[in-house]
Amino acid sequence: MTRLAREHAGTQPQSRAREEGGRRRVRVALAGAPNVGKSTLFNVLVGARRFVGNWPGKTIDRYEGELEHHGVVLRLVDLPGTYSLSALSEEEVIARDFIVHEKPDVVVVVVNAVSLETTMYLALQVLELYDRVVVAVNKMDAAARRGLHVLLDRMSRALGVPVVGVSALRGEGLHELIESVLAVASGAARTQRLRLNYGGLAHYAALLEGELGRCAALRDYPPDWAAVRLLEGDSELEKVLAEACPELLEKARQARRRAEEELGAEPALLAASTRYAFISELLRSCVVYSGVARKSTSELLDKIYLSRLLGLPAALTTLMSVVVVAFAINTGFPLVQILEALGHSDLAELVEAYTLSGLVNAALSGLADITASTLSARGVSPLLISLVTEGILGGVGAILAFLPLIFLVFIFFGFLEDTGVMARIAVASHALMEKVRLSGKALLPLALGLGCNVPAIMGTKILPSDKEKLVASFVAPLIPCQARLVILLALATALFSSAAAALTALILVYLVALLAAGILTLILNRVIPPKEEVPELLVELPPYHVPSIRVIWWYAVDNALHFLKKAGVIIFLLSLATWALLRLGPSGYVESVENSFAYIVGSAVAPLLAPIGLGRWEIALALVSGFIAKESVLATLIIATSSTSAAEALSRLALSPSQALTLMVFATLYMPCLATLATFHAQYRRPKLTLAFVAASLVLAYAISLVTYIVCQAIPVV
Amino acid sequence: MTVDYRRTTLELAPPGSQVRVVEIRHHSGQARRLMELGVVPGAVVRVVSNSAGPVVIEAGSARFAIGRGLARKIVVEVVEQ
Repeated sequence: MTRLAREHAGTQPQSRAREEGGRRRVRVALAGAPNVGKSTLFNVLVGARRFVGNWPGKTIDRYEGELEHHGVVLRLVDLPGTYSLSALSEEEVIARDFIVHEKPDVVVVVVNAVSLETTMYLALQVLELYDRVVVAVNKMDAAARRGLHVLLDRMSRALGVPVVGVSALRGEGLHELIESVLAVASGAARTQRLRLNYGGLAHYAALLEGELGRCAALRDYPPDWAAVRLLEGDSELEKVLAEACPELLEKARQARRRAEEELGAEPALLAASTRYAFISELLRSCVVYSGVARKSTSELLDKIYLSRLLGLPAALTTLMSVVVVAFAINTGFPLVQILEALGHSDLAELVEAYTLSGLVNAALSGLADITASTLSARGVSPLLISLVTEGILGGVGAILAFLPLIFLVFIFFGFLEDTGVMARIAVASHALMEKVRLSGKALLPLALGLGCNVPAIMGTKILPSDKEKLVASFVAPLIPCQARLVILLALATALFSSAAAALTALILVYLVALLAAGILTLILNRVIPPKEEVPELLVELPPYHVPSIRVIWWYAVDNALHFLKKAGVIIFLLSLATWALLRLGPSGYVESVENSFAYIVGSAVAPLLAPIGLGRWEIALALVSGFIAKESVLATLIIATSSTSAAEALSRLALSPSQALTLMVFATLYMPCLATLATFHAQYRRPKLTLAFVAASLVLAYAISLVTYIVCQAIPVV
Repeated sequence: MTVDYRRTTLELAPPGSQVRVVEIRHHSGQARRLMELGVVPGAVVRVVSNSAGPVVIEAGSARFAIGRGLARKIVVEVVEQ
C-alpha cells in the first residue's frame, strides 16, 4: 500500500473532467456481470438520450447515453456485460481495453445484492485495475425481501471507493449514485486502486513487475496488475508483449513456470483463490442476514426443471407454449385453423385480419393502393408506379413485415430470460443437444427460429464459444419459420384432400427439417475448427423472479433496432433487386412476368430442378421470388399460373403427391430468406462465409429433396 | 499412504451433499470461468441435484449448472452427506 501515492493520473483528477461549451463533461463507463441489471440502470439513467453505435472493429453494439445533473453532463458508456476482465471473450476485451486505454473519468461497477458472491468478482477486477471507481449495489430491494442487508459504509471502507445501494427498476438511490460519481470525478472523494495480497505469488509478481517497466507498450497498464495477469497467463497482454517486447514475453513465461513449480499450483488458480478469499472475507463482514430467505417456489420450479424425468418435457413444453402464443398473436395459427376446422370460417377470417401480420399487411397494401391511384391520376409512367409501389414500398414492407414478429419473439425471449426460466431450459435440454454436439443453450436460439430465423441468428450471440455461435447460425435457417409454416399449410391443404393427410405431410416436413438441421450440425462440428472442442455447459441459474415489463420492453426494442440498423439496408436493396428481376425484361418494363428477366432466370434454373421433379419455370420463378420472404413463393406461384388460389395454381401445375411433398421439403430448406441472410452477414461480416452459408443450404435442400422424391416415388401409397 | 474414500469427482458427488473443491483438472476458458464464479479449490459448495443431466451446485446463494464432462474434471471431497 505504500506505493499508492505515485499511482495513476488520479492525482490531478480535476483536469480530467472536460469543459466543453461551458459545461462540464464527465465520462462514465458502466461495467458489470450479466444479470446484475446493468442495462436497466443505464436505461433508467439516460432515458431517451441514448445512441447505439459499434465498438470499433467489433460486431457488438455500443450503447452510449447522456444525462445532465446540476449543469454537469455525464456521458455514459455501457460496457458489455462480463464475468471478468480476463480478455477471454470479445466482450471482455472491449470492457478491459476501454478502461485501460480510454481512461474514463469514473467507472461504475454494478453488482447484484442478491448474488454478491459471483458478481463481486468483476468489481474486484475493475478495482484492481482502476482507481476512479464507484460500486453500485443493485437490487437492494429484492435483497431486503430475502432478509439480506448490505453494510454499504463498511464495504466502502474495505474497497476504498464509494459504494452506493440502488434499485435501478424502482429508481432508488440514483441521485446518490450520480453524486458519488461526480465526487470521484472531481476528486472530492478520494479513491484508490485495490491491492490484494497474493501471498506466495506476490514475490514472482514483484520480480516480473521490475522487468515490465522496460516495455513502453505496457504503459497504460498498472505494472503490478500486469505482472499478476501475466503470471496467470493473460493472452491479450502476451500478445502485446509478443509484438512490442518479445524478450519480456519469454521472461514472463519463465516466471510463470517457475512460480507453478515452486508453489505447486497454477498461478491462475492461486490468483482466483486469493480474489475469492478476499470476497468471502468482505461479504462476511459486510452482509447481514436476518430471517430465512423464502425459496419454496424456486425450489419447486427447480425440482421440475432440473429433474431427470420431467426436466426435458417441462423445458420443451415451456418453449413450445411460448412459440405457439407468439404464432397466434402474429398470424393466428393455430387458432384460425381450429376455427376453420370447426366450420367458423367467418370468425377465422376475422381473427386473421386482427393478427399482427394481418394488420401490417392491410396497412401496407392500403398504402400501396393509395400511392398507385394517386400516381396514375397524375399520369406517371407504369414503370415508375411499379417502382414506387412494388419496389420501394415492397422493400420497406419486407423490413416492416419482419419487424413485428422479431419484436414479438424477443418479447417472449426476454420474458423467459428475465424470469430466470431460460437458464433452466438450457440445463434441461443439454443432454439432448449434446447428441449433436451443441450445448443446451443452443436450443433457445433454435427454438426462436420456429418463429423467425432472424432472431434465431441474433440469439446465437448468447452461446459461449465462437464455434458454437457459427454452427448454430448456419443451422438456424433450416428450422421452418412461421412464414414457411404458412406456405406449408397452404400447400398441404391444397394438395391433400383429407385433413389427416395434410397434417401428416406437415409433420413429416417439420421432421425432415429437424433431421436436416441435426445432420448439418454434425457435419459442421467436424469441419469447423477446433474440431475436438466439446461444448461444456456452465450456466448460472439466477433466482427466479417476477419479470419486469420495462426490462423486457427495452430488451425487445434494442434487438428490433439492432435488426433494423444492421439488416435494414441490405434487405431493402435486395428486395429492390428482386423487384427489378420480376418487373424488368429485355424490352424494359413488363406487365407480365413471362417477359421478365425473372422468367429467363426461372427457365434457366428449371432444368436443374428436374431431377427432384420440380422442373417447371413457374416453380423455379416462385422459388426465386421466395428469396425476399418465403411467403412470396405462394403468391408468385398463383400469379405465374394465372390462378386465383393456391389450390387452383397447384391443380394447373398438376403436381403428383410425391412432387408436392418434394416441393414442400425444398421450399422449407432452400436458401435462407434475405432478412436472414442480411442478419447473418451483419453478424459475421465475412463475404465468403455468407456465400458458404447460402451454398450449404442449397446443397442440403437439393440432396434431401432428391431423397424425398425418390423415396416417395418408391412408396406406391404416396 | 492413506486413501481418502471421501474424495471423488463432482460428477459422482451425491445430491444434497456438501463438498469441498480440491482440484480442477481442466485447462480451458470454461475452467477459468468456474474459478471466476467462485468454484475454486477450498470452496465448499452444495450439490443441489445430480442425476442424468448437468450437475447443479450452489455456492453461497448462487446456483450453477455444470455439464457432466466438466464436472468429471472437478475433484472434490465430501464434507457432509
